[in-house]
Amino acid sequence: MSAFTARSQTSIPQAQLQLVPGWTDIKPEATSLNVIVHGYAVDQPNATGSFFPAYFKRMYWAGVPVLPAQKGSPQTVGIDWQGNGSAVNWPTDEFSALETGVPLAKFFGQQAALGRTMKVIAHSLGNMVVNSAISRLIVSGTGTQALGAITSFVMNEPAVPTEAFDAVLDPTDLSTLLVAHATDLDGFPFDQEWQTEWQNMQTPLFSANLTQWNDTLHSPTYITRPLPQYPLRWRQERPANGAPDKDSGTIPQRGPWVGLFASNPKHVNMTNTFSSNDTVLSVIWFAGELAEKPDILVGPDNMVSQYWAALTNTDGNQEKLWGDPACTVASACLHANIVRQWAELAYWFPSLSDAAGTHAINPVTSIDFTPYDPSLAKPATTHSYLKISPYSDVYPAWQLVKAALK
Amino acid sequence: MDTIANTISLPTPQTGTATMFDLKADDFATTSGGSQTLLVAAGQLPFVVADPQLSGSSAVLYPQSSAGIFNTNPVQPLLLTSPDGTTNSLLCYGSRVAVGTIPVTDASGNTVSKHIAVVTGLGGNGPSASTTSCPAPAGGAVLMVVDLSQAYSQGSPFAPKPVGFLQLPTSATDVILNGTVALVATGTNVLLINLQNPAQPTLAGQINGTFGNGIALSADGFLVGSVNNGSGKAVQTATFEPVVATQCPSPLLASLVSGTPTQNPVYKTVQSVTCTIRVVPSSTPAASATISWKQVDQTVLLGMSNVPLAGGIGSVLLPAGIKVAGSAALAQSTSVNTENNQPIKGLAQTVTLGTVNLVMDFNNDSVVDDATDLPLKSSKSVAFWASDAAGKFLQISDLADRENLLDYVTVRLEVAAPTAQYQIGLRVVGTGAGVGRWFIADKVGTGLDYLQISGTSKQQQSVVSSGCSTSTNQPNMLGGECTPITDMVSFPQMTVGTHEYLFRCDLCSSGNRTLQIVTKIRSGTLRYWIKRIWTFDSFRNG
Repeated sequence: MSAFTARSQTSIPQAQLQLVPGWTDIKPEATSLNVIVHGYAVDQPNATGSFFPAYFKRMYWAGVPVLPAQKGSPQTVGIDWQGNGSAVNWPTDEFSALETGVPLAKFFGQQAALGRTMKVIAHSLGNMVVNSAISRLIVSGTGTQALGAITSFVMNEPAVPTEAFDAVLDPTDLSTLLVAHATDLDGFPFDQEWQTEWQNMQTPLFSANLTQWNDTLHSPTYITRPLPQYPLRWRQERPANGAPDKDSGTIPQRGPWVGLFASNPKHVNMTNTFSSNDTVLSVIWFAGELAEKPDILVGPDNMVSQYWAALTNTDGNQEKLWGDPACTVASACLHANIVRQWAELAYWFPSLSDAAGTHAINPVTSIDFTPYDPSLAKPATTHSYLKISPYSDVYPAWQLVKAALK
Repeated sequence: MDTIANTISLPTPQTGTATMFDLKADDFATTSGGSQTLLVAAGQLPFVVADPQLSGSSAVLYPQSSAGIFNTNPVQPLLLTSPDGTTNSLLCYGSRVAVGTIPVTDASGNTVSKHIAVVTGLGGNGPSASTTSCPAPAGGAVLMVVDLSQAYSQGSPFAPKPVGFLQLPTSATDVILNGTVALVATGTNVLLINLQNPAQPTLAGQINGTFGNGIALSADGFLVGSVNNGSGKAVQTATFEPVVATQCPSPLLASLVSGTPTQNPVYKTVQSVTCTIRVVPSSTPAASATISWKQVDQTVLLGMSNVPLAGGIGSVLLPAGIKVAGSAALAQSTSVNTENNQPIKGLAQTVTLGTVNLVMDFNNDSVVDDATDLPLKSSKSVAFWASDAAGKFLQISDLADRENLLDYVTVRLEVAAPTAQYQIGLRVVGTGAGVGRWFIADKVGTGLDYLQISGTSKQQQSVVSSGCSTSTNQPNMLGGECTPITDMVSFPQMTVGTHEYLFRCDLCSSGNRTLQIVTKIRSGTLRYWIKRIWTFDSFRNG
């Protein structure tokens, strides 16, 4: 088995996945790969010492070939990423997952170029990583070979908004509480709160705030281009085919989760293994999508202070993600637009729907793993039952995973 | 698939169909000078002859029916009238029948063959005037000899001719022919009925013993009977002439030198064994014997002469290392009767050669499967991982309960010959990075039950958590998990059969290992004969 990581010394993923020190590289003769991606709150020692071994071994005993000596000469690869960057700020890790899709998309492309097919299984927020990578391959227009090489993708308890897979959000998917919260507190989708702030800034009473806002965006240290447009915060929409990797447009292209990954199932054979018992997704993820927005409670993102502009995830180092030098001048920051789209998506657009890991979703093949999720009866194993429950308790679920990975 | 080619019905007015207890088939002479197979049966109709090539009531050649119906009350007996006409003997109810050809002396003193049947059952005899129908007066167990030598013409009645009658001291449960002697089983002793004169069968004696209800003759002339009388199950044998029997341990532990157990195997015995030579009966005067060890194709592999006999018994030590082509050898001894200087017939013992096969997941599909994981010698690699203790060292605490069981792999021992306590062992030989620390434990359940069934999994966890504890009271069991003290784990006494264990290598570096079954030879050194290559994958840290 091999292990690769996207972690860097900063909060930004590396542009290329790197072999984890001490692990062997993929053998040249490998013709197929099993790709395992961990989820949220997994540090590297846990990923390489617990998550990857557990998934590797359980796949083996379920009958999935994982060793080079087995049918198809496969090799198994674990993908480690920075999903534990912040203990309290969920959107930071969600954004990190979106960003890690870039180096993972490159990895998929490199392996496909070597003639290797890939079976992918991801857990929880790791599905954001993989879906992000697949969407990058689709958007780039150059990922056809890589997409064809991904023969199956099993999403286990995906911590991804259901609406991301819907081209048009079905109102019946909406959580009443979520809608009420977003509408009342954040102005979404009617942006009343932000419009009010913007209008206030035009008045003499708050003109100093407008000056501060403009000074912030035009300061030498704020290099992201194009600049955020405060009055358009909630009105900008993502292009139908997704935002390109390099976009020098003047208008930031961003939008809600709706349809972000809607094209993915059209290109990759995907299976959603969900549990309606998953209290991590139905409670913690639910709260994280709403309550950890930085403007909630004491959040500084308003007409006085722009939390967004202070985030490290929006600086020029983002360019490294695509292998470019860090941009130091605004005109070189060609990826800033899309980077910011992702960042704003994670920070400012709470999901209006449940997590895809709590129920069946269309048009993805869905398998109900609820019987294997002990939920509140065993809070420690809900959501992560495929790994943490004794194998004897979940081996039927692994048999289904095996079938889905074929 | 067997099919029913013909059904010959024996309808009766009283009970529907006559019940028959024994059936024999034999070739009968025909009027055309050839032969044809006919059937002979004994039962509620005491004696029936039928032609299997005919159908319906015409297939029954004897007894004659009335419009296809066979009367059983009264039944038509086999009736024999004495030469002087004063006595009739009846067989009213047949139990067992034997058919064969025996040599008899005719009126001219010539020896001729006579086709006969010997049928046992219930009947009796009495004055001819009053003894004409069943039930017979003073009825009891009887034997009747029936002459079947008349030529048969298909479509014509066949009239068996009773020629001899004998009242038996007890009921017969089986009857077979051995030359001119009818052997009659009674549940215990076997009665010997002399048929040299079929018209006057006589009780010539009996073989005492517990032979059971059914008896048979082996190809080399031994009488064999089996019994299950509630106090035990047993097979009893008897011989009709002095013989020399050879008894070597069988199956005998051997290594597979070439081929496979099913294809051109060549075995080599791994230990010396003691064979016993026994003259039966032991009162037969014999001073010494010669023993030979042959392949099935009669190639002599080893011979030892002048083996001294005392009381008809001797023993000889056969050395280890005898190569045998085939999966069995023949051990046979001969001797000479010192009184008449006649050779004593030697009985050949077939000694099965068996090895201990090591079967693993050779096709690497994660299960040990009979169909795909055949015991191939030294030609397949098994890929697996060293048990990963990274979690321990990194203090990761979220591993699932019993996760360590996923680090074991099944090692199956197919034991074709029993082994003594600690006679065989398991050894791992490594190259390069060394062997590593390995363990082998008793396996609970079959297949992957220890991983897939919660209760079995918990039991298995308990076993691997227990230390090594072999004992003579628990054949095939290690008593927990063992690790080599020096370089091997010795197995307890092993019985013939398939036994599975779980193996793991703890923190072993990647590379090739060779798993060996070894045995101790007399010098105390080890000899290996089965090797399996084991490749540890670079699961972690190369």
